Amino acid sequence: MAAALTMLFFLLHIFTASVQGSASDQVPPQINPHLTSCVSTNMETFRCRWNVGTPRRLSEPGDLRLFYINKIPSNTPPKEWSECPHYSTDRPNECFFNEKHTSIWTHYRVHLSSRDQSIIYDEKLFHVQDIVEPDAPVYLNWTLLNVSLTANHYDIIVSWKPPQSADVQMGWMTLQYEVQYRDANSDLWEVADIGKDTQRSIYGLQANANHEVRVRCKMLGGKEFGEFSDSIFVNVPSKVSGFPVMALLIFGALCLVTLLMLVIISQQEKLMVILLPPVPGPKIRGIDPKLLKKGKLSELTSILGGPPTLRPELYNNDPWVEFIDLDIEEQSDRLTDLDTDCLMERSLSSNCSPLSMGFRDDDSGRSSCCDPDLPNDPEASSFIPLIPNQSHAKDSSCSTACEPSPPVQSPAAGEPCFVAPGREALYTQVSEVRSSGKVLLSPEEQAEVGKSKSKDTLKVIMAEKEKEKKEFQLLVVNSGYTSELNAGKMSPRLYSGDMSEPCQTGGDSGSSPSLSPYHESDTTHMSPLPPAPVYTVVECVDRQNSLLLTPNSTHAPQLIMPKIMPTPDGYLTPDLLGSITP
Amino acid sequence: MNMMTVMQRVVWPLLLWPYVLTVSIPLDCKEEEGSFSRCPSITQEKLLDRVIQHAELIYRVSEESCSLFEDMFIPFPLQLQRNQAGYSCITKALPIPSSRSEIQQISDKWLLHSVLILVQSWIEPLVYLQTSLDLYEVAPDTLLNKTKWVSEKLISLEQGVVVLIKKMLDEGLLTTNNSEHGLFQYEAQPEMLESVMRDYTLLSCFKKDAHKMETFLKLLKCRQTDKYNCA
Repeated sequence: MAAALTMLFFLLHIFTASVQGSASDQVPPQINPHLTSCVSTNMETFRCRWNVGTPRRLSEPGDLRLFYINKIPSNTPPKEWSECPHYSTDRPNECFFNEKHTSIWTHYRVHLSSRDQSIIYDEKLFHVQDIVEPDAPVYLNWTLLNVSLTANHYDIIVSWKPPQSADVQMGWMTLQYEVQYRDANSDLWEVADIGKDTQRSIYGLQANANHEVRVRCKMLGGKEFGEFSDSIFVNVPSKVSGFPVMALLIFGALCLVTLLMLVIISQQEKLMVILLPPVPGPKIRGIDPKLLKKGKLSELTSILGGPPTLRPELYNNDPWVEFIDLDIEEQSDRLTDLDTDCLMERSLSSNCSPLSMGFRDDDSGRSSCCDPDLPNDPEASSFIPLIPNQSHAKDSSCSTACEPSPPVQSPAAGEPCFVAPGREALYTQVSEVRSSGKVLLSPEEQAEVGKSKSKDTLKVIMAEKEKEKKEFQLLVVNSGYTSELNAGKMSPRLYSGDMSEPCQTGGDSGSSPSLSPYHESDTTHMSPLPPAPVYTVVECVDRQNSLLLTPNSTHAPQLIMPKIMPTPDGYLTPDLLGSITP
Repeated sequence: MNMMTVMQRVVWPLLLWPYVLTVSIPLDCKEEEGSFSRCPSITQEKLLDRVIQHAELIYRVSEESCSLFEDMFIPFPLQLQRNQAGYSCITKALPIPSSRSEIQQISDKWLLHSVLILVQSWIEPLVYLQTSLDLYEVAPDTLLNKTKWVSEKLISLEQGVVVLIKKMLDEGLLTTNNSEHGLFQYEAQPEMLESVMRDYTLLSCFKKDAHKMETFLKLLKCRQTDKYNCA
C-alpha cells in the first residue's frame, strides 16, 4: 500500500519535473541568428548588422562570423569567402565595409555563419547601389510664407540640407526628399510630394497650433527611404483680438443691408422713377394727342392736312368725281375765258401758251386735261396736237388731199390749222379709222343713217366763224355721247360732216354756216351695229372749221384717251379702265 | 501606386520634350566654314545637361520596369538568386570601374567612352528583351511600353553621347564596336521559366548599367563645372 503510494508520488514528481522542464525549454522561442540589414548610406561604404537570436547553450555570442563574396566582374570571381573586414567596435553585431572593400554595381553575397562556416545562419545577396539608404537631411528650418486674411492659417517654407554623408554635390548621389508634417496633437502624418528640391512649402497650417515637421530622403530610383530627420516645431500665433472680427464684419454687413432695405422701401416710388423712368408717349409734331382724345375730327383733319403734299388725294378730288358733278355755271365762265386767239390764229399760237396752259382752271372739281398741276407727259402730248405744231400724220393726210385747201396742213406749213376751239378738249366719237389714216367719226344719229354710205360719220358742228371769232363751239355730238360742255350750250342744230375728208368737204361744211346734216354712207363699209365708240383727240381745226383728229395708227378701232385725267397715283377711273383694256 | 504611375505619365512628357531636340539634331552636322550648316548649335553644357537628364530618366524607367517584372513574374525566393552563377550580366566583361575611388581616378575621356560602350552594348539586348516580353501573354502594357520607351531613348542617348564626345574630346565618330555583339549571346529559350529568369536578369542588369551611366555622366558634369571639388 505504502509502496504504491510512494511509487505514485515519485511518478507525479517526475511528471511535474518533466513538465516544468519542458515548459522552461519552450518559453524562450528559438531565434536563430540572422542578418537584420545591410545598408549603405553613401554608396561608398556599407555595413551589415545581424541579430544573434536567442542564446544557445552550445554557441557563444562571439562565434558568429560574417563572410562575404564579392563578385567583381573584372576580376576572377573569388571562390573563397572573405571575412568581414571590420567588425564594428562601437556597436556589436555589425560589420563595416569600408571603401576598399566596397564596390558598386557588383554582386555581394554575405553569409552569417559560425566561425568555421559550418552552419550558415543567414545569407544576403545584393548590389550596393540597391541598399543605399541615405542619412537624414540636416539643418531643418522654416520661414513664414503667407498669412491668411483671417490670420487663422498660414503657409511656411521648410528648407534643409542634404546629409553630409551623401555626396550630392559631386553628383555621386541624387536624392529625393519627402516632407511629413502633422499637428502635434494628432498621430497622423501628412505627407507632401516627393521632390528633388531641398525646400518645400506647406500650406494651410493652423495658427496657434503646434506643428511638427520632418524630412527624409532616398536615392533617386532607390527603394528605401533613409531615416527621418529630427522634427522641428512650427507655431505661429495668430493675432486674436478681444472680440471676434468675423462676427463684427457680419454684423456690420447685416446693418448695411437693413439700412439699404429701409431706404429702398421708404423711397420706393422715387426709386422706381429713377430706375424705371416712364416711357414717353409718341410725339407727333403738330398733332396734339389731346385732340385725339377729345375726338374733334375736324380739327384733326386740319392738322393732318397741313402741308398740301401730305395728302394729295384729299385735295385732288378723284377724277371720277367730276363726272358726277355738273357744274354748269362754271362752264360759261370757262368758255368766256377761252383764249380763242390761240385757237384762231396760228401766229398767236406761238405766243399762246399751250392749250393746256391757257386754261385758268381752278380746282373746281373739274380737273381736266388742262390741269397745270399735274403734268402728264403722255397726256400732255395728246394735247399737243391741239397745237398746230404737232400733227404729222394729219398733215400728210391733209396735205395730200387738201391741196386745194391750204388750210389743211401741218402747222409747219404755216397756214393755220386752227387749234380746236374751246379750252376744253372736246370729244368726238370716232367710229372707224381707215387704213388711209382717215378717221371716221360716228354720226350723232344712227337712225338717220339711211344713206347708202356705210360709214357713219360724226357730225361736227362748227360754230360759225361769223358769229364770234372768239367763240368757237365745237359741238361734238354723237349717238351715244354728249359732253357735258355741250349739254348746256349745245346749239340745236346738229351738223354732221365727214371729218375724214375735211379738206374736201371742209369747205362745204365750214363755209356753210348752217350745216345741214347729211349722212354719208359708204357702200363699202356696212356696219349694221353701232360701232364701238372710239375717241380721239381733235388735233386741230382747219380753216374750214373742220376738225382734224389724230388718226390711229392701228386699224382696229381703238379708244384713244382724249383727255388726260389727272390720276392721283395711278388711280384709274372706270372710263380709263375701260379704255385701257383692248 | 496609381499616383506614381499617373505622376510619371505626366512627368515624362514634360521632362522629355526637350529631348526631341536632341533626337532631331542630325549627327552629321559639319561645323566647317564653307558648309551650309543646318544644325542648330547647342552649347556643351546644355548638351551635357540634356544627356544627364536622359540617362536619369532611363534609369528611373528601367528601375520601375524591373520592379514591375519582379512583382509579377518572380517569386520571392528567386529574387534573391538573381545574378547567380548561372546568369550574369552581359556587360560583366567590360572594363568599367566599379568603385568610387576607381572612378575618380579615370579621366574624362575614359568616363565618356565607358558610357558610350555601355550604351552601345545595350541597344541590341533591349530589342531582344522587347521581343521576348511581347511573347508573354500576361505582360502588362505598362511594362511593355516602358521597355519600348527605354530602348528608344537609349538610341537617342547614344547619339547625344557621340556628339558630346565629339565636342568635348574633339574626336571623330566612334564606329560601333562589334564586340558588343559578342557580348550578347542569344540563347534559345528552352522553357518559360528560363526565359523569365533571363529577362529578369536582363532587366536588372540593365538597371544597374543605367545607374552606372547616370553616375558617370554626373561625375563628368561635376568635373566640367568645378574641377577642384570634384576630385
